Amino acid sequence: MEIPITYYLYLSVIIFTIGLIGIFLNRKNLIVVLMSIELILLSANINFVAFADYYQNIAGQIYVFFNLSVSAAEAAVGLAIMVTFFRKKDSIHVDDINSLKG
Amino acid sequence: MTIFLFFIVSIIIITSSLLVILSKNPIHSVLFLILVFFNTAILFLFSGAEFLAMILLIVYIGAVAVLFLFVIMMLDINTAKLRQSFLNYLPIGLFVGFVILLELLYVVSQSKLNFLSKNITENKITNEIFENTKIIGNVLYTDYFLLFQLSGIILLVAMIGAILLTLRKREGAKKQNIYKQILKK
Amino acid sequence: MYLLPIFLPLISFFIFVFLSNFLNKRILIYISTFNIFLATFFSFLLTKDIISNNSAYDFFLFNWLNSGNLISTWSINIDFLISIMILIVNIISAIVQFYSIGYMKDDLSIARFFCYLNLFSFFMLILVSSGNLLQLYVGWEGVGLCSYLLISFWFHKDSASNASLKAFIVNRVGDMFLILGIILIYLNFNSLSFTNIFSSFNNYEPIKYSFFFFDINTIDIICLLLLLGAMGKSGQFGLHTWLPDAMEGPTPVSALIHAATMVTAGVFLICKMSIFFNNSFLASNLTVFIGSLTAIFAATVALTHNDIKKIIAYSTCSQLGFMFIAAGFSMYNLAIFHLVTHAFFKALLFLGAGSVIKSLNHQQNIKKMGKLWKKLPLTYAIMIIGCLALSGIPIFSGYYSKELIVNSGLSSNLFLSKYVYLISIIVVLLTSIYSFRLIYHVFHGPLNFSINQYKIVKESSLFILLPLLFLGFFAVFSGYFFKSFFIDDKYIQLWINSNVAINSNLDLHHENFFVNLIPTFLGIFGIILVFYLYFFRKNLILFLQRKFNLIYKFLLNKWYFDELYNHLFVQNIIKLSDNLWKKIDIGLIDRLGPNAIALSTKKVSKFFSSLQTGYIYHYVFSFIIGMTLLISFIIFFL
Repeated sequence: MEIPITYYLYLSVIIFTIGLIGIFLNRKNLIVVLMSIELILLSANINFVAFADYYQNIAGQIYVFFNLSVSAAEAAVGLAIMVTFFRKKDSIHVDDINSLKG
Repeated sequence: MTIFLFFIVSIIIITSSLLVILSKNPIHSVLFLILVFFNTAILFLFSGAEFLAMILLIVYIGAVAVLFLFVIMMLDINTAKLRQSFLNYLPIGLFVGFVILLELLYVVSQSKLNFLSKNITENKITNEIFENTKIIGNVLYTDYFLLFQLSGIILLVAMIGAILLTLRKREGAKKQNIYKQILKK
Repeated sequence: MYLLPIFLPLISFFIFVFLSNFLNKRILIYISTFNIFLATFFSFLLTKDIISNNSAYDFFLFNWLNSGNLISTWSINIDFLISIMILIVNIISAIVQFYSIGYMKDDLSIARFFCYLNLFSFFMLILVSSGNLLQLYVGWEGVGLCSYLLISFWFHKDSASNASLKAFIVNRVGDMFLILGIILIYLNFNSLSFTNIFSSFNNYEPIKYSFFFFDINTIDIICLLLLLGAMGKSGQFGLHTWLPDAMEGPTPVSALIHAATMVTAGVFLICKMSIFFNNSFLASNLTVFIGSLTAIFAATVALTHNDIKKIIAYSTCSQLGFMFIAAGFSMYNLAIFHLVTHAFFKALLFLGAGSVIKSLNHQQNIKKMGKLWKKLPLTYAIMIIGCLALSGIPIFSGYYSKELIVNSGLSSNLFLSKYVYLISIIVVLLTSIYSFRLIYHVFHGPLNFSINQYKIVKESSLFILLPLLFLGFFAVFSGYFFKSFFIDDKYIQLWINSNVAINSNLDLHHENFFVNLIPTFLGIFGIILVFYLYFFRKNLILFLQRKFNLIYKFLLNKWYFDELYNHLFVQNIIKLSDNLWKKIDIGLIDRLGPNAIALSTKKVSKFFSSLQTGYIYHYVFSFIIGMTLLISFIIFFL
């Protein structure tokens, strides 16, 4: 019994939404924002893999490859920025990132 | 049987991701994230993408999540400081998220995709065993070669960026100043 | 060639406008004077031509308005009436320009003065020689403008600027009625040109209205409006308040504009539209009434004033009343005759007064002059001639015109004629009284200024005296020599060709010989009375002044007209404008307009800048909301 593709899609949608909510409902921590971004990217990966399996086309999995590398790069840079920011302001509370205010 | 397993894995994924964003302690968040990745790898196995599942384990969990953990532990985060502003946006945020969820679910439900039909055993072209790794290797360095190189460059740029952002001068560290050495007084 | 009298002043004006920075001012002034004398010469030739050949000219210059029936062209129409007016305007302008060379010698902006004088002459000539009503109105407005410019010639004086504004605004009230009259004429006759109007007049059926208890028709209304317009320009009772204040301008200006030419534009209009006035019983009566009221009002006020120029101004006002009386009786030839003789002797009086003023170093109060007859003999003689002409003493020119007006009124059948006769003979008496009172205070009487200044008083230059002599000559002889053009039957055809419908039913003299002598007698009596009272019974005058102090004050304050108008109109308009300015212009329009835009710019930009909170989650939130909306839109509506 194979798994119907729609289940994969539902799952991907739910993870996407959770990641989305995590971005803007979160106040205390900048790290959680970055992690939510990872979740979103993960949901896209699940989606691709599911379709690659459905259409028996390897291109979906190739994309996952690149997605992985880009997301890793982006996580690294994001964390570097956060570190720099923490060095300046000594806090990673999201409300403190408001120097572009106005 | 597989569906049952699938459901268990899915539920673990969903609850873990919820806990990622809801945890007070960021270390807990990271650990839950690792759980999410792990279960996703299992999910990939269901789809026959075993190479990707392993890569997920190595790269995502082994590198990215560990990186998160390093940074959290490096920064002296005062977790006890609670601030109020979470609750202001809770209703509207939840509402918007809920709306998005419903819409996306609706979209998916309208799709005309039927049951998975894996007919690998019929219409065999060759007799070779198709493993995921082999298939990926066949395509990645030939058809998608350019993208491969590009992703390498992206990783290079990210590395340079990360190093440059966090570089800081320390007094007392002995370094060479080339200009001072070459320039005559 | 016959267009030259009209356009030479315009050429002088343009010479001043364009060349005054390049050439020496004196050269330009001499050129201008030469031009106007040339124009006078040509207008004299023109008049001679028209009288001897009984001709009329019509020159079409170019089109102006051409919209259905509303056709207005720039055209010059010359017939007998118009050529007389052109001649008078040019002669007086020439004399005044010549006089101003001497009088305004020390003034710095003499070029501007001549420029305006030429412009004024041009506009007056356009007014009289126009072929249609719209061009007449252009000239009408133009002379109003030039009067404003010239009265406020010394604009650094507050009183001069205020007086010029007063003149312009009161004129404007009259002009408003005039333009209404012109519109009404156009609506009824479907044309603005005089030839069309006069030729279609006989076929015209006026529309009758019933107004309370008497009937009027459109001809009455048109004449009424034209009369109101003429009243504004000629300073008749009600719209006269600007004329005495207009004396703030230099004396040559007063002589030209407020004695001989601009104020006679009203009389000219009535004479030109004589066909209308003849057919309107209401308007004719009103004209004589207004004229007589003006005459007596001005004469009484002139008795008490102390400024030379103001006395002469009120005298002008009074004589214009006489002209209106003549016009009201439909004796338009007498009105024009009086206009001509009045132009000469009034200009003479003004220029003589100017000579006195200049000799006494710009002193204008007659109570501060005296005993000048030995020091300024020529001026004295000329002023006496002028005053004799003004009072209507026989031989002098004023006698012929004034006596004809007074006596012909007796035989008129207008319902107010007897009352008007009575008023006019009283005015004749008052005229001689106030004019010789002026002579007494200026030239005889006690010395009211310093003896040192008295020693250095002497006659002014030749530029000033020559015009006086010239005008004196005309003041004496013009009446006798020109009267035939105006009253003889030989020339009646000229008047008919000018579309001036003179009432030929009126006898010019009463059948009783002695009744005709009444005005003359009263004039001579007035002179004798003045000299008797002032030389022998001075105390009587002071006693009268004290006893009738209220009447004296009433007359001195010009019948309190200025105060009345101030209270009725000026204060209310000032209050209204104040409110309009503060409450509406600043409060409403500025608040909703520019201020609101500036403030709202600030508010909107503040609002937009508050959107940039700097918090990432706000931005992400807005992404997500936008994304939601887009997805909803795509799902549900596409």
